[in-house]
Amino acid sequence: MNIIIGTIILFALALFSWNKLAEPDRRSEAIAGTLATLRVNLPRLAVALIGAGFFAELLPEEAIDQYLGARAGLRAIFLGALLGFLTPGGPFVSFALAAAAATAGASTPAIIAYLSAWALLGFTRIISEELAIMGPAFLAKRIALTVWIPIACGLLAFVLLKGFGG
Amino acid sequence: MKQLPTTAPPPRRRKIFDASFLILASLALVAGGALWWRDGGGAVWSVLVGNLGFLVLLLPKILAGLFVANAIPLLIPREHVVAALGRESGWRGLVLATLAGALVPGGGVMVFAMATSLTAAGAHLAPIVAFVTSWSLLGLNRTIIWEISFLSLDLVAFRYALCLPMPFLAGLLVKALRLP
Repeated sequence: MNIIIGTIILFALALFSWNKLAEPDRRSEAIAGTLATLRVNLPRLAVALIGAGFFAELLPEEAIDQYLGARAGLRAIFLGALLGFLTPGGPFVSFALAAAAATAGASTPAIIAYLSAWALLGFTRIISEELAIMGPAFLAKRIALTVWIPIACGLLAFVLLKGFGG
Repeated sequence: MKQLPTTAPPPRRRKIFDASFLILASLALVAGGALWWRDGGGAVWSVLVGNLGFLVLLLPKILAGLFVANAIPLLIPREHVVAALGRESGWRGLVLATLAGALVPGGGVMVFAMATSLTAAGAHLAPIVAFVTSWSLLGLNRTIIWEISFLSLDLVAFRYALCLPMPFLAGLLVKALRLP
């Protein structure tokens, strides 16, 4: 169902932007960009989805449950955030690992802390892009200003799920 | 809107088989090998077929999403976004920065280049931090096309809702601490 809804919304948006682009030149520029992105990302997506499938089968459910599951409570949130910071690579790696961990029983707050930590502080991006382009002064400030967010999101998720028995 | 110059990046031919692909592929191979060793070829086969089938289902959505992502920079030139963010410094600026971070498609190199031109244009630190934080946490391009491909919609929507105020709060923190 998710896929169908998402597909419909995105097709509506695609039609809207097709219409807005108006001229054939700009349309073909957008199409060329689309195909270039697809060419690079489709092999990655296929490999990442399959890899996530393997990992989900392999992950030791007992260990996941103990350290990242609901039983681990708040500790799972901190561990999730730490793992998010340490996960190398782009979004396919982190999303694939999160999906595998979710299948193996990691708690929702832990996954949310993991995803937010990777998105904000994933070390590959920080070093290869942010440090290189923005410099150490900006990076230090940005990290200090946002490092609490993954934990806050995880804790909020924890409290909300507890409160509403989700 | 017709003859606006666009600042879409020059079509950089990114390599398909670069380091990040190799990392993914070796992780998948090792995991596949381990699964084969433990549960046999049938287990590997069923994961392969299941996920390739899923990928086929995802394909139309991904195509449409990538088209939108590639059309946005043509429709809203980046220098317009930078100019708008550079002018605003108050609450409005933080809201605008959060919105821009969520909407701007593209990777870190492009986003940090925009942040650099914001700094050069004399923008305050608060909207710049909000912009970078929003792109990291709320980037719609990554969430709608990729994140939802891996994770359930419930989980992604919950994460998104929890993260929604965070770029704004990070910007407020800059103001509260009176950072230059």
